[in-house]
Amino acid sequence: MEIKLKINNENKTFDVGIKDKLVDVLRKHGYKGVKKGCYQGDCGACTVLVDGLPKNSCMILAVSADGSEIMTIEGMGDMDKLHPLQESIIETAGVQCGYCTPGFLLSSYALLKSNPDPSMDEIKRATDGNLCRCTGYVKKLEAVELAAKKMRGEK
Amino acid sequence: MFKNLKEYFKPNTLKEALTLLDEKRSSVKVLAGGTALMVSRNNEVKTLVDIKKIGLDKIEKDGKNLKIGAAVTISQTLKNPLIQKYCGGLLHQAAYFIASTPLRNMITFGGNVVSIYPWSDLPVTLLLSDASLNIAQKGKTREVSYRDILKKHPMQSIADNEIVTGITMPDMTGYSGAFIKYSKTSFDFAMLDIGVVSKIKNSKFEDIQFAVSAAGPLPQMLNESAAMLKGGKVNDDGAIEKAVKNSVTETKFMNDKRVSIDYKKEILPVLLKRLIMKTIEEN
Repeated sequence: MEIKLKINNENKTFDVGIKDKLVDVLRKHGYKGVKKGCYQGDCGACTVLVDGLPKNSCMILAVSADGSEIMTIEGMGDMDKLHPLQESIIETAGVQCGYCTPGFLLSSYALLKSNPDPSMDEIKRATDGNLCRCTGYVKKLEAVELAAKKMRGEK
Repeated sequence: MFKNLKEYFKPNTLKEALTLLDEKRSSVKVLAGGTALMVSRNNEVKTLVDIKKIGLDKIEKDGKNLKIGAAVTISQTLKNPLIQKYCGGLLHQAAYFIASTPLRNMITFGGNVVSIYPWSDLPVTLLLSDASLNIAQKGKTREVSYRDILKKHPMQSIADNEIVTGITMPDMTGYSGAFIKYSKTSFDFAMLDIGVVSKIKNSKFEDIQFAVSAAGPLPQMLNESAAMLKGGKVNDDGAIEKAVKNSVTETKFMNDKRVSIDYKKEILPVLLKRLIMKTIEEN
């Protein structure tokens, strides 16, 4: 079946199997920043933004995503131009193995879009679906606070 | 789940959806959020009918009642001021700790009351408010009391060619409500879900209802225990102690690999009492 997606502002057309999950379709087409963790909606490593909302791409059938706008970590920034969230998480040392990080940053990105000055509680709530086994969360959450400050022009 | 999946449809109207269900019958499943379907071990499904774009995503007042479309997501539910005001915040509290942010953007109100697990959170609020489900099939609709539906698993009361289109929450003006999801972390499944609603007049319980989830195989009301307080004074501590102690014997428990029955029996009366006191405070 053919589906049309707008991924990181680029129009794409993919041929997918009816049983294919969105995470597998994205990875197959080069978006390797979308990670497969638990593959059942429990860890958030596969989090992408679908029409601006963070969702677990392992829980979405690709055919049902037809017509959606998707943002992956590849759309947030790269080594030439890091997004403030990416910059901040490096500064706070909030990355160890890095596997949870794309999903975590995307959830944070969505938060800052609708709430540019979130409290720490709000940051925790917005990222409550992105589990991390390495960092103990503190440095990652501080990164979001720092990024928000930068994006408000305060740093 | 999808070993035998062959067809996917995304109709534009309810009528189209109902016609598809009527044609495909036994091998068809309705797809809304899809979170239950995606982890289901049932491989019988051959056809999926996606109901996200057929107009079931609205929350509105129907006279004094609240009508919630079955495809409204939990995130949408939480943002809605009508929901926030409903029954002293009961519904908002129950929706708040469902799963995680990304999953709340997918899980629907309908899904959380129909495709239920023993630990599903919203059913408690529907039991307490005596809500009903609006169900449609090609050519007809019916409205069924949720208390009746929960005599068995909701999926068993809904035919292959039917869709739950919405949930009607009755007017609860005058009631205060409190809900708690007791779990290790916010994302964990509930070890116990408890809800209380009460209507207080002249320092007496004009009405009081208890419901629990995650204790046994289905969400359940504790009518015997609540009846012990109905009509009585709100400051009758002895009666409240008796009622919460009775909840332990009235509740049907089941074994749970995450938490023992003994533990549930310990915390149920404690949490139930806290919620009763909370509704008294908020009245």
